[in-house]
Amino acid sequence: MKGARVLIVEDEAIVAFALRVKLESWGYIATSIERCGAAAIAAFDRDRPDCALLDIFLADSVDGIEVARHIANNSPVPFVFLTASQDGPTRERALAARPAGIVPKPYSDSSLRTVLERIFRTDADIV
Amino acid sequence: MILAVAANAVSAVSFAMLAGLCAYFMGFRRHLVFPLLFLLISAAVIVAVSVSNILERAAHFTLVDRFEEYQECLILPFMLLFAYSWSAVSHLRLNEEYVALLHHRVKNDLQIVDSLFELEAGAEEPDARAALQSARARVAVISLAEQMSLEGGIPAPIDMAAFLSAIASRVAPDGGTGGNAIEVEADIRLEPYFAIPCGLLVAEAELVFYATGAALSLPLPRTRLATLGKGRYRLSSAVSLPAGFSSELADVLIYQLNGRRVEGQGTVIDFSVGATEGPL
Repeated sequence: MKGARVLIVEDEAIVAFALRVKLESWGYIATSIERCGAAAIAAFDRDRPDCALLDIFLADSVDGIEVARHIANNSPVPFVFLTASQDGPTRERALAARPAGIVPKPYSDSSLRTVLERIFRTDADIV
Repeated sequence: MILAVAANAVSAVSFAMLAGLCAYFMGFRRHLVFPLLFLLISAAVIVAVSVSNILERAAHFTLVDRFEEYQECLILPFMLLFAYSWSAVSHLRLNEEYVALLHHRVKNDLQIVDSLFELEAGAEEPDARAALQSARARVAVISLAEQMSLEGGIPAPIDMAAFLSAIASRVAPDGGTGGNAIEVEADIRLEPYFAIPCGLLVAEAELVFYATGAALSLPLPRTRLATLGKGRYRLSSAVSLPAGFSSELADVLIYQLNGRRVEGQGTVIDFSVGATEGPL
């Protein structure tokens, strides 16, 4: 879905910036880049994006999974975890939040693009 | 009897605390020694005293009496054993957390490196752009190895079929939808030390193919990995690596693989993963 609005939650500035460039080259719009969980929740409530890409470990005490729970409790907006974490407990917590996908870092363009296309194709089918 | 139990309990707790402290301040290998040493010395003293007492009183007690009299002696070694086990398990868990943290950091750093290359990939000069794309592909090989070797939570040999296919997909401009470029004999699994150079060679061949030879329409699969014997493999690609950086890099990778080039069409490399076998 060209023009879909995506919230980026990532504490590594270089990764976040490259992600925004990548998304924009694919036709998506990055609503904002947030590096803290609390700011991400505020940005989600403010901008109401069509999708959120969430890192799990963030710069403050609110992690990406808590941001995901907030999104899930307040909207049907799909979210995707982009994470380097492979440990069992974190993965279980992440899965419990029912994400639309978990893309392990370092991710390839194709793996991320496939997940996004699946999300927006599904949404389009529903509409 | 109560006094003896109390005294043993106090000393056991002291030893347990000491063992715990030793375990805390020592590394894993060192901390094995000290609690065990305390345990052995304590056990030896207790056994010596007990045997001496038993010999003295043997004439006046039945076997059951003796057990009841000396059962408190068992408290100390069991407490020490418990303390040792507890501290060892705690240390193992701590070490596992450190390892997980390190791997997390490595993957994050690889993501940062890839992002840096990606941000530069819009360079105007074609040569610079190609060099950055090649560098991204090489970083991707290392990233994939890191991910795949830890898929099960603990480091494990890498499934080469999945690994090499993923590399080919990453390098392909179309994301690997143009057919399977790689064929790997069933169930070849290599340690990252060997899998990474193998993956880098495949990436190099695929990069050269897309840069220069894609128009040749080489038949699929272009690259094969097959077993030659126990711990010996042949990696063959229909793509010839040109003189220059690709070829020099290949030589270095072949050296790490204990391998050698074989005369033939394209690039053919025999290698051995047996450390004791030496270079082929």
